[in-house]
Amino acid sequence: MNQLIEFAKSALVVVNIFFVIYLIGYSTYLFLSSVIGSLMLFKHRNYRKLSNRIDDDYYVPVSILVPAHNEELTVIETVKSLLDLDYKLYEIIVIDDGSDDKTSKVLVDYFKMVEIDKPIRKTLKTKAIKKVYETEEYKVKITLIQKENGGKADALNAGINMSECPYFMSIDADSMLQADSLENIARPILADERIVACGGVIRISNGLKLENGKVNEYHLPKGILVSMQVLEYDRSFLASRILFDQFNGNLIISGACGLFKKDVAIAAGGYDADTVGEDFELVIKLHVFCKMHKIDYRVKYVPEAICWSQAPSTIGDLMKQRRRWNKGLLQGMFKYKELLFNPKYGMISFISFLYYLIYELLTPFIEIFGVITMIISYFLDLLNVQFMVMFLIIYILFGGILSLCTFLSRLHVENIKLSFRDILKAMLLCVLEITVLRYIVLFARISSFFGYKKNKNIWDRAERISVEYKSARFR
Amino acid sequence: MFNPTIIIYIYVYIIISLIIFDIFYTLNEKFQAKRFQKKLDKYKDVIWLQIEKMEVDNSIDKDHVRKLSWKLRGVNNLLVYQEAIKQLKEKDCDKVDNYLISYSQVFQFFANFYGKKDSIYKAFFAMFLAKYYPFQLNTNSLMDEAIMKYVEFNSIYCRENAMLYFYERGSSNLVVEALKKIDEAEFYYNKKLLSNDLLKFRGDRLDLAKRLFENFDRFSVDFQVSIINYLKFANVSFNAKLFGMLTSGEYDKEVDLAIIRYFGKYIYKRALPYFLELLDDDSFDVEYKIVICQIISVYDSPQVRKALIECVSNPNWYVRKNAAKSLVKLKLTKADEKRLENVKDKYGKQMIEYTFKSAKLFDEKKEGKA
Repeated sequence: MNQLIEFAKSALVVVNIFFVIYLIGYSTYLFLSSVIGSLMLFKHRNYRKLSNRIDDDYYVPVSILVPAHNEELTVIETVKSLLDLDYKLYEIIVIDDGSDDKTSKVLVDYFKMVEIDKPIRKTLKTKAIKKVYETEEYKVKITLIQKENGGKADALNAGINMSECPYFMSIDADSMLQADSLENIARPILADERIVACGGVIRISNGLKLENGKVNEYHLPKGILVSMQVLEYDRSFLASRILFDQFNGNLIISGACGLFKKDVAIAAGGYDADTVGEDFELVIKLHVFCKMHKIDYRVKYVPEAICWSQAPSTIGDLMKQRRRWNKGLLQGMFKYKELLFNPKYGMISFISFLYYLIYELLTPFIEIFGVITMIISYFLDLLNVQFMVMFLIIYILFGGILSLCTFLSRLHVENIKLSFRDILKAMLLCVLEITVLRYIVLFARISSFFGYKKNKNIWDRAERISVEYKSARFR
Repeated sequence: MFNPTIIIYIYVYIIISLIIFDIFYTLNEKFQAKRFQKKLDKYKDVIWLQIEKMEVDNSIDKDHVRKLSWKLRGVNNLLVYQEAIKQLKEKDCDKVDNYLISYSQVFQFFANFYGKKDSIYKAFFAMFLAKYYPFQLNTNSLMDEAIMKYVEFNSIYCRENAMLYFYERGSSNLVVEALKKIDEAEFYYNKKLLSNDLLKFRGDRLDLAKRLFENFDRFSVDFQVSIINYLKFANVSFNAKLFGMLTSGEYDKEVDLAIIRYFGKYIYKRALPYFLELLDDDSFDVEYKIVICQIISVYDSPQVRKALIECVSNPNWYVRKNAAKSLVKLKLTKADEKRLENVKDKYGKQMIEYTFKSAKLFDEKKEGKA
């Protein structure tokens, strides 16, 4: 028995060392991303203030792709918001991926679209296209592709085939771009021709009033669950991606707001219809493709390009969304496992990929292992309870403070003003986010590991609520 | 023994500092607007006083020079000063221009002063001069010399704003010299941005075109393409010279394609047989065909229509698309229409049907609006 306890003690020492390294690693990452994120946003603000920006009438022609599946409630408002973009040369392509509702009909009726037999350059393989509608009645051409259900990636590939511009931007059908977003996301291309992909910021639209593409009023949403997600998004988008951007190591460009160079995306094979995380997969694919073909390239993150998107307001929808994200992460990481510890990919391999592996994909298992170890240690009387509780409290406070810090960094991004009430609310919620939301997400992540290959063509999405977008164009 | 919580404490300390900074920043922003307005009113009064004084005795106030030379060292003051100049110019542009010219020694000093500062400040100062200095009335070679050094810095914003200074300045020699410096340093200057920027040139466009042409071979391909694009939009005609370059085979494909696009705007009849020859010759790079099909409708003739109808069946998607689009713009004869109907190629037929149908819809829409 003594031998067993001795062995358990030795094992626990090893586990302790592992956890100390794990937590310090994670804290350092969070710390660096928050500090660098905040400082970079502050720097960006100064650049704008001191006329350090490139202005042109338009930067590059862009096709905006809007994949939609059963989006009759939101798709019209989305297209209306796209027509209000401050940009001259773009087209809008909505891809109805076999909707069961009236997604196509509401679009055709509202925008008075006409069925047309348009030749499509089939550079990427997709499910059959049933009908194509077009209208040139508005500021830019709007095209609607009605196709057989093949999933979001398949819909995006169909949109790429139809696109007439050298760059394409993907946005979700329940999202709305701020009027200056397209200009902001395309601007870096004039500064650096090596850019093959640019990602923007996703902000939660619950609690927002958008009018003519501009923020009319913004407050933290009323619901606690959605508000916690606001803090989480800021930490993830504002901080972490800015950090990875410093060494061209961003592996994620959200499907709700990403600009891509079409010829490179096509050459790399377009979106993978066999994965649910098509946005993550495409960005890794672009990294691998460019490295393999020795193309000098950049994947850029643009914090000024803002896309407003609905966040799940129920735990069930949130779980569904996070399961999908984690499935996508798992599939993408498994598909490109050669990136792990591969010097050919430099920092992408040793920092970005490793981070996603340890602190995103494996986190649920590591944390469960941690809890089990704590329980065993407690029963074996090997746990310094006082130290443990103290450490956890410090860790939670640290996480909360970090979330608050990145939330306040919004101040350095254009058009955002925070009320005292919002700041107070954020202060109260930041601890809750790290203690409650984090564990809901962890649970969703664990459940995503079971049966992840199923249902690849199903659009896993939250229940939509009807939104109203005010536009002078449609009064 | 190593205590990991110490690291966390250090991190917490730094993060809390950042939060305090953000909170102070927000509060500062709230009060800054008021402070800015107060300062702005003061600056406007001081400048206007100088303007009035100059009207009386036409002299320069040494105390004002001294104060400006001190105050404008701070970029926040320069921001206020810029706003004051902007607002006063709206009130009386000539008087403010006269004031700026009289105090040009101050700006000359600051061109050198900011030249030693970080590129973000250099960019801002160059933008200030480009926007507000009355170059049409006065030039300052020492100021030009100082700003010329800005283009050598590896900051795109600094270079861009310095170039805006030279475009506003309106001297073709200075523009060419600055562009050569950027090109020699192998700094990236987006082709579209460069050709659009060149159009902002306030001087003699023909002279600029001539100077760019004289130095054409000394520029890299990207710059050469931008120069041709600039000629296209600047209403400067160099038909014979450009056609000679196109047929010489000495230039890069991108330059050739830019020249072909140029001839889409400036009709040069002597170029047509060459274009038809390229459309007929399959050994040529297909990109030539794509661009020729795009522009050739301005050379309407039976040969052109015949060539385009043949191109509609080309294996390349873009050749088919551009040929169909060009055909829509032409007045087709019965014979042409019959030839189009007889196109056997499935993809060519589909392209024709779509292009003509959308053109018809477009016309109907136009008529409806009329």
